[in-house]
Amino acid sequence: MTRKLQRHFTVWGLLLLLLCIGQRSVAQSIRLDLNQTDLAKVVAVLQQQAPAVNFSFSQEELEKVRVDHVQVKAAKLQEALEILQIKYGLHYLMTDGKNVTLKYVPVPAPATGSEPGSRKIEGVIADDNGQPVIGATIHVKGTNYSTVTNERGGYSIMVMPGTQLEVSSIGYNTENVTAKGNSPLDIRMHPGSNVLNEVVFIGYQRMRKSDFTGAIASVKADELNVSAPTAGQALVGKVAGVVVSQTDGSPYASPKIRVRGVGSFNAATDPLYVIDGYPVGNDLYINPSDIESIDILKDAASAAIYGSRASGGVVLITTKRGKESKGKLEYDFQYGDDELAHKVKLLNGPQFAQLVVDGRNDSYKDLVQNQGLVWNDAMYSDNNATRVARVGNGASVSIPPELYNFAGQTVIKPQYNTDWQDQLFRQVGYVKHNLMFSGGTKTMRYMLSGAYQDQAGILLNTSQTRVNFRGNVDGDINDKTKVGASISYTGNNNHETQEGRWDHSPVFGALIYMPVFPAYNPNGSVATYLADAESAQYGYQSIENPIATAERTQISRQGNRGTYNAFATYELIPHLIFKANLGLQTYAEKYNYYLPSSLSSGTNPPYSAQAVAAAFAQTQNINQKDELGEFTATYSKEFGAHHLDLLAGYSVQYDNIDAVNITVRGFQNDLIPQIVAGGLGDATVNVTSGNNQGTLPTENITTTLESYFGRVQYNYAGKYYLAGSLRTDGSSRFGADNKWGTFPSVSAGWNISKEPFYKGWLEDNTTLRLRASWGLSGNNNIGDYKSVQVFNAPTGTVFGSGTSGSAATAYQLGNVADGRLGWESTSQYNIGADLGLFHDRISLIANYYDSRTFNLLVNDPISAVSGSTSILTNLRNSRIQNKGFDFQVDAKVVRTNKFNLNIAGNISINRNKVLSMGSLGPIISDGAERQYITHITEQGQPIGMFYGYKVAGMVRAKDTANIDIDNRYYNASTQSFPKGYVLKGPPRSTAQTNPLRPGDLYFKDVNGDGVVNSKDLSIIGSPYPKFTYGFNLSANYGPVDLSASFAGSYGNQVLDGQDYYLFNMEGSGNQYSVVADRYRSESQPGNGHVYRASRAGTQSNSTRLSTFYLQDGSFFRCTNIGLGYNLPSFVALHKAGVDAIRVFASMNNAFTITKYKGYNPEVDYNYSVNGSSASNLTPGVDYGVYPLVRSFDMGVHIIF
Amino acid sequence: MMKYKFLQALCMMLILFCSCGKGLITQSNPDSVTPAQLYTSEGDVLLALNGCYNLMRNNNAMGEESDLYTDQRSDDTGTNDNQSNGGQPFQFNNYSIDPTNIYLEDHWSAMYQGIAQCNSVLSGISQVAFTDSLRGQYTAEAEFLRAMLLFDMVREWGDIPMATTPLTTLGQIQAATFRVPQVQVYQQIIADLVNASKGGLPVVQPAGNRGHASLQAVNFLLGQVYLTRFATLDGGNSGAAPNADLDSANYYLTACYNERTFTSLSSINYTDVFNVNDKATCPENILQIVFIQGDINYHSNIAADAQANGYYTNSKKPNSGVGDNVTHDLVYEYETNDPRAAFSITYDSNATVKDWFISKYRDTSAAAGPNGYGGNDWILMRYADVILMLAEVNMYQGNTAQAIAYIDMVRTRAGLPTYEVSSTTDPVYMQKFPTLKLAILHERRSELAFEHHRLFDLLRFFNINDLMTYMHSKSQANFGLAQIANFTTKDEYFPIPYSEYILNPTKMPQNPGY
Repeated sequence: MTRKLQRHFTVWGLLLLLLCIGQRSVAQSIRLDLNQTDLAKVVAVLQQQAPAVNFSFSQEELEKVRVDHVQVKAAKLQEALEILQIKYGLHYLMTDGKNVTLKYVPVPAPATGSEPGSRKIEGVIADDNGQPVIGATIHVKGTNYSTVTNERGGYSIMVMPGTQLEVSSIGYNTENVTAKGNSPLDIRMHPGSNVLNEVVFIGYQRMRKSDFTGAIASVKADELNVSAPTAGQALVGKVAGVVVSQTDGSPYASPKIRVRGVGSFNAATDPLYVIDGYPVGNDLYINPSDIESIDILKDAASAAIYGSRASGGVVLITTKRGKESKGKLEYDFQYGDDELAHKVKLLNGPQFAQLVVDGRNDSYKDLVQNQGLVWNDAMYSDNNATRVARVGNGASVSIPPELYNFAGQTVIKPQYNTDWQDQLFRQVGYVKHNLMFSGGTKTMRYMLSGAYQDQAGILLNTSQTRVNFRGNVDGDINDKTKVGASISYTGNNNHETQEGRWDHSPVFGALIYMPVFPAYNPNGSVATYLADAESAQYGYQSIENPIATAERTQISRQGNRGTYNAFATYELIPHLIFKANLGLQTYAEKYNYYLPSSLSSGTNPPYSAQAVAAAFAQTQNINQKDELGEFTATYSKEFGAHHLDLLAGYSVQYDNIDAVNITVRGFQNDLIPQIVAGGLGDATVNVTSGNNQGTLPTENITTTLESYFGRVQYNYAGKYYLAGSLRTDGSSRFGADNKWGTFPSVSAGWNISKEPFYKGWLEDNTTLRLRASWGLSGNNNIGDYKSVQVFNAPTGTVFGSGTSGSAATAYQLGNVADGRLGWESTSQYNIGADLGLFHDRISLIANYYDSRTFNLLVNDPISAVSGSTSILTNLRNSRIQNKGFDFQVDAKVVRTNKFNLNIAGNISINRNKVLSMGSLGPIISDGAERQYITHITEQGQPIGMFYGYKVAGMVRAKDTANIDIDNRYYNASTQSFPKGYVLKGPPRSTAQTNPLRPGDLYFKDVNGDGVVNSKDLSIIGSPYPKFTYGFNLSANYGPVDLSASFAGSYGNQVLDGQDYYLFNMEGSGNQYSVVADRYRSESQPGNGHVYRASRAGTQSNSTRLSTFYLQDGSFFRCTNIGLGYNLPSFVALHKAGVDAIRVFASMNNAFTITKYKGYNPEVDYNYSVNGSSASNLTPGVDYGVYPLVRSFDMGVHIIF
Repeated sequence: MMKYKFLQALCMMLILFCSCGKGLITQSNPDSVTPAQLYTSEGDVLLALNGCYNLMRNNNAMGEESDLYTDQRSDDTGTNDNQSNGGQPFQFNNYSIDPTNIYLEDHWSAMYQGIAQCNSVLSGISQVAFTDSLRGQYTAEAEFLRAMLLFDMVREWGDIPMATTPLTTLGQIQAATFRVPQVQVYQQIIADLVNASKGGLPVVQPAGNRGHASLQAVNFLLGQVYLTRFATLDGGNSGAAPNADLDSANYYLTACYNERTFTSLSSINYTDVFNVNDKATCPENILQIVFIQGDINYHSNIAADAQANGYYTNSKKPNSGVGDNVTHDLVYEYETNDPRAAFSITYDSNATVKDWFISKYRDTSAAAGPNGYGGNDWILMRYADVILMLAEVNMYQGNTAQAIAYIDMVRTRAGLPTYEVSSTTDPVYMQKFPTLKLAILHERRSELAFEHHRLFDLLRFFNINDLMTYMHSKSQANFGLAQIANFTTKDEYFPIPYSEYILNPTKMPQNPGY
């Protein structure tokens, strides 16, 4: 057993031990004795006596219920609750041992007059599990007579035979029963699903989900995966219609959230994040434990209230707030153990050596034959000098003598066999402390939390430490006036690594660095300058030891984000509430980068003059200030069966980013890796103008947004719903002639199950609601100041001055700009249905949507005669469609006091299509390597389809005779065959000077002209899944709970950009292990797919995208599996002031099932970070990205 | 009463709303200026004019490392690397260039960026109150640069889109998206240059001002433009009588020649022309792109980049690669004992190279150092070129003796026998260069190798069918991986970049053969 495994067993073993310690749930004796009070106060006292229990209730509602005298004595909380329910109408719903929902249902007045009949009916009302339902109300329809059940669930009533009885109780579906006269009449009640009765945030307001007619996905705190280090990761797989992708496993990265497909070519389509009502940038590092709920507005009708920023969807995050109770202190401690989730299978040292030798020998043979010389196998023994003298191309034909016995033509077993992944990745620990203090009085409620998290990365020299603080305070000044404030701070300190290409990404470097080199010198120092030293001579990639790259390159980022928000509400007349909300967010970031002289620079060794010159430090300071002023008025009123909600608002938001980014060269040593140590002479200090590695160029940007918005919501008797909203945004980002945009929406709902005809039509125990909506939302993610042509930052040119020359300032015109630049708009229809089955034990939410994005923001190509090659504009007559279906099901499979099992699942299907590109031609993009064409965006197809050649087969020896015949007809100067000539052999590719040989792949000649050239390029695959899905199981048995979450994607392909180097059969770097199965000769043809080794290029080489380089990206992942246990209460602990203890263990990214060869099939590499080609156009690319982490966590949650 | 209060509150809120609205959503970039803001003074116009020079010296335009578009496209240099960057650079010397080639697109747009900047400056000059002498000079410089860029483009692509005023709206740009016939482009070039020649430019730029256009440079270019128009547009098409173009070429080249500040070419050593220490004072140079030795930002890379593995004769900066590869076809073109060969090219016997590299540009000074921060200037125009063009013009005009006299100026300075001697006594010379025309072409190739003239020389000396024959007569063995057989009539011009062609296939038709 490995050490690692042992450790995991220990974690799980400990947990099991804890489970065996006790068996019974929290017991608590309750005594209440209050006079002249109200139910809210009663609950407050109850809370004091049951501090471990979370009571949810409406303060407002319970305050109104006056009670003269309350006296309860009970051994258990549940008993006390039962008494309160029967005597005072305080109905309760206990979801588990610690969450209780309370609601007041008036206790029926004593029967007025006589009971409505003469026939005595009695019976017992019980739930699905046979447990009595206490305090259920039995109402005799058509009368005002009601009664309630007693402690045993029993009732007795005098009715007329045939009378309809309506039985209701909170937490259960209302039952209608006909009293036919037979007695006893036992009635079974079914727990009601509360998915649709949840309260959701919809932007500026909150409402019951069942009253909302848009498409919303919500996740409550208890559904989030608590052990996830970021809020985004806690969401993976939880919501339909929203794809949360774990694309990067670094400790400072957060998953990418995408709502309902991609609707833009050039503008980012990230959702808008609104935290506690403040629409701000994405605070990736918000403390997940602070989150009360996450609501995602998916359809344009719901999102339209956020106008110009909402077309990527809106993610509303709500944090926990204090409740009236005695102070409650909670402490969480979590320890995790992180490791590489999946190791890539690569060639080992001897296999790699064989490839190096084969690649160079094959190239030598090719080049000899290409020159028309005769080849004989004795030439494999030619030494390197003879080879170069004969065919040149030294790097392609020379073999390192330590790997090849020239005379014997055999491979020498290499001295080292290094597994670079084992060297680079490590097993690391993770620690999190979280403290939360909450409580309050009637007029003042508070929640304070602080967290500290220290997470090392599995990759050397990467980590994040994070500090979070939050304070939420709410107070009531008087009946009409309420105030509140939220203050939060997030501080992070990252040690980062570079991603992407191998020349700087250790992740990529570890994949292709040659296993024949040692990681360390005999003296223990990192062995540098090995591949680099030999790269020019033997055709290796000039990569530095990835350990050195990771350890010596210093990248740090410190971020400090403070959010301050204060609001006040005033109820001017009943139900008309004004609210003013003022917010401020500040963000300061310091980023430092240092490339040391202790790394090779190209082919020059560490500390060489060139390496010293290449060393540089970059530092960036960001100061950001965002200010928000928001004024709303809401009015809510019922007129009989009519219910009306009105919202009107105005908001203004001002955001300023001031970034200073400086690059300094001229370091003499690496002692001080900061800008101060560089700068010999002024010329070595530069203002950085590009943005890379997540930094901004030096710039000062002010963005302002001014908005008016309103919403009307109406429903009649909870049956018919109608809503409309309108927002008008004015933005500083757009052209002088086009500053204002208007975003309307309408929606309607129909609660069919409340119709009289429904009962006869479908069974009583189902509910059905239909929804439809249309809305318009906008996208303004295009950067600032893009509507005016300006000169670029001044640069320098040189004129003669004496014998040297001197620099003169030069201004160059920037891009042509469109003064009419405006919004990109998305118009979306959504129809949905909400279905409750088996008394809402199963609830289904289904949505179908069809959205069209138009006035697309694109860099529209224009003739260079203008001085620019493109103009950022709204493309007329352009349309992108996203249509799809998302489906969510929640099932309460088992629901008893002791055992609960819930299953939830979701599936999302999205189809993206460019309906019209207006005047724009197809966009061909390179998504991985320089000038390596990978994607096309064209009319009638989804955005960014893989574009390349189709592999038609592998050339074998039997084909050579036919190729020879074809050669006789081939005209090399026109690169064509005579008209009408029918090929005998496989078609040749004109892009390669190397003719087809056995072991080469050949491509499909799509247009049938006998040759393969750019005219044969076609769409060869799709980065878009046929569907994505997620499902969760959660169960609790008494004090033990278990949950498991899964997520997956089906039917998409991944372009493994690394293949350009990692799967090219060159022997210029290490390769996937499957390369051992390559074609070597007719007697050793390999697996029939992997082409032959060659260092000088083959017809099937990696520099052109073909189906060979696309992989199936489908996967199924267990994202989280966890086990928790609520310890029984110990007297000793009570004495120590501890109310409850919960322990848990969980595993994140437990396993992934996929055929993908690389680290992680969930990819979203953005090759061009500076926005010249947005990643929208090049989806589905993997390229040197930090791999995913599997973590084993255990933790404890203590309540004081 | 209640209603009253409500109205009051509403009014107050409205006042609050409206007070912050005005001008809030209009923001301008504090880090940049618009053309209207910049073009307000002479000094600021100069800064934009400097921008024209800077764009011209870009390596995607006419800079020292723009050889991909010129020499690699000829028979002088190339690469055997058919894999780098998707094999796209290799397409240039393999004559298999595809319209989608990204390097081609970069070249096209870099040239136009320079032209657009010139248009902007010329329009800006008209908006500013100026002293007239500066107005004339700045105008002349911008017109000269525009003409020089257009001249390269019309030779590379034939008919091209052309604008002479700033294009600022989508409508204007779309209206200008069509290929203007070469004849008109030449007319614009000549108009620009003629106007520039009257702008009051100094005849010779003083050492402290090297890099700026001079009257010498304007006359050089006018001569070259007329000569090229004569040779490529065969009279009838150019709208001018052939002899008129030849006469004009002779006139301006002679004027340029007469503006020299040395007596005879032999007074300047061939190697001194490229001597990094003499670059500001060498009287042979007419126009150069100036670099600063040892400067991290403004140094020249040409010496270091051309050098091959194991050699330190160009630069102290080591290079592990093959450097700038010279075709064997050029190696064999040099006459035996031509000292220019020994200077310009070097054989690297290193086991990984075993081939020739360019050694014409050298800076091994301590100031340039092991990082190769060379101080070489990139010479765009020099007198040996003027003299050989005069030989060419006179040959066309039938002044054979005059033509030979010009060739001999160059041959004598190089240390070679005169044309008379070689063409009558040297059997190899006689066999390889049987006509005066071929001898002039040969002399240009030997003298001006790697100075980005060879492609234009070939296109000027031959019509495309003859050029195809000429190229196909060469031995494939001298060209490495590149296939000389791929050279066809299509190679008279580059393809129009696909991205431009697709904008308007009717008005931006593709060149034949692509």
